[in-house]
Amino acid sequence: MYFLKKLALSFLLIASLLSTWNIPAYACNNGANGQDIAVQKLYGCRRDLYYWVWQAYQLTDDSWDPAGISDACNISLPFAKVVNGAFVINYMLTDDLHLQWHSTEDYLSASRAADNRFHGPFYQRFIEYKGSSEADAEVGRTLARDRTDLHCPLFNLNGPSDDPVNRGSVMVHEAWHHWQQKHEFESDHINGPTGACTQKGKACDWYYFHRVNAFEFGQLDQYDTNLNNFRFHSPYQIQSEFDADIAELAQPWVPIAVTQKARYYGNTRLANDFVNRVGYRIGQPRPWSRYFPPATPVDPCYKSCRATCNCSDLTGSAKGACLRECASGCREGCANR
Amino acid sequence: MRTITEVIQHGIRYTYVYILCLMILLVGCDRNISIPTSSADDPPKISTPLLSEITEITPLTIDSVDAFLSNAAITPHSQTEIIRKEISRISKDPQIIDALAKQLLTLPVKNIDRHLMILATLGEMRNPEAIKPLVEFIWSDQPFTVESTAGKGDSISTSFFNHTGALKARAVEMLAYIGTKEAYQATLEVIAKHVGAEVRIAAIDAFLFNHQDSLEAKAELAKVVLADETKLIGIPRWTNGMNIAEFDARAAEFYRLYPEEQPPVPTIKKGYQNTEKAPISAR
Repeated sequence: MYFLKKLALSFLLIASLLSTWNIPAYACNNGANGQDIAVQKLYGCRRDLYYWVWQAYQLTDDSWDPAGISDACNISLPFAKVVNGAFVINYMLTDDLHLQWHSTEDYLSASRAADNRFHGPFYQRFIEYKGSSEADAEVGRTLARDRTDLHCPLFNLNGPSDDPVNRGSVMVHEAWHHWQQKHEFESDHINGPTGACTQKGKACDWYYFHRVNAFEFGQLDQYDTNLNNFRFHSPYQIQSEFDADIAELAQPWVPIAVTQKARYYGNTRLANDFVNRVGYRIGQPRPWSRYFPPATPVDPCYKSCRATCNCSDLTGSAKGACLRECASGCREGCANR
Repeated sequence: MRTITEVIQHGIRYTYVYILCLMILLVGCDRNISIPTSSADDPPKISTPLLSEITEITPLTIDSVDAFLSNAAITPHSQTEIIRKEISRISKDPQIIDALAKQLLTLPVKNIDRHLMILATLGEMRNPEAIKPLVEFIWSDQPFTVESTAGKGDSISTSFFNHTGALKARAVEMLAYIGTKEAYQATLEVIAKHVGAEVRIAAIDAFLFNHQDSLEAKAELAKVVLADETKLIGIPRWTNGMNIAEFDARAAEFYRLYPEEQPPVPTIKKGYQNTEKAPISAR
């Protein structure tokens, strides 16, 4: 009898362990606001797009099961809202070669979950969270793949952070922690409030200012800590630069709600999230922005080029042989750079 | 040969070992379908939405405020001129200001996009009747958004945002844009006394912008701005259509004048010696 009791207890223990594995995520406050509806209308319900987002951003964890993965166009649910955020990252910029902080390809490659020049592989989960945190990146996990957790504040209808431009910028921000991990830099935020950063808790970064054209398109993954040529990014910095690009250099068809919100997020981050003062503001403090078509021709190669090789690493014939392949059909050799 | 009892006893005795092994496996086991090695796929091609030459905007009347705000939010940002024209048509209508003010001061804010449209409309009207509700909004003690402040996350790699400050920052930009003496005085008071850094910084920039960044305006600001925010008077604006060389020069000047705002070299993880050199090409 004693042994049967022990056996029953053991099975109960195992059963309780299994039941706590991948705790099912509960629903957020589902529903779609005007900005999400408007952004989704720009592309409609496209199977090729949500499949691509599912794969590229590794929304493959079963935490997405109750979050809309099987109802991928339902914009009331988190999965489709992530597709909206990915749309902002991947389609909304003009890729103005001279003005834009960084290219679409840079933001795309930085934010997607693949093992690439930016970071190692990670995946993204949907995790309900009762606090105000929008997302977390878990890096350097033991015996497990790194991951980003996206929380309900990013998806709660009537919640302040529920919009596609914020989701896009948060995805870029969290992916940058994975960049830090790959490049062996500390991925912690700094404990605030401190210096000019007004945020409480571990929510502050340094801003490593660089001039507008300091990074060639396709080189956002790189850095240089040599003081004579110092170039670096922190997570809130890359997020602010992304906000700025969307605010000022979005495609002409992007709704006002998106560009205004991007400026709103970007300027507040510049003011609040950095230990050191940031020496610029985004946009003009007008009610409605003035639109200027790109003054400089947008190089079609940059719009869709993937940096398949880094021209700076090559010399001689290898440099000449290396071509940047562009979806638009452009093929430009390193010899031209 | 063991008896059944002995087998069960043996099993129970080592069950705890098996549970421990199972726990180790569970910790390391990600139930994911595939681990991408290198995802070389480009996103699918999507035709850019057709942009009609003239986008209609809902006329703004006392009865159509909601419809106008919703319409404005989804108008392409390249066509804000039609919104400005419509607002200029009714800019002297006190009933519309009252209706917008009432919505502005309905807190907490349930739809921030909508509040941004309200603020932009009030600002564009440039009507002094909007000063009072804007000031009330900026100095309000009420919580602007419903969000839990409990448990800001245990993770060290977390993302947060202060919406209350951000909304007030936008409001003070609209206050300054009204452009009257009273509006400017109210803006200066924000610069001198508001508790929100993002609100003060927005007010500094907006005050200057509405005085064409003049030297006189800078001098006036210097009298009221907080000591450690003096350096923020006249920082450049990164905008579509800006002169890049001028922007770069002014930003560089900021960091030259205030070297204390230069960040330290980033921290490498403990135990690592990062010697990677990555020459970066500039555009």
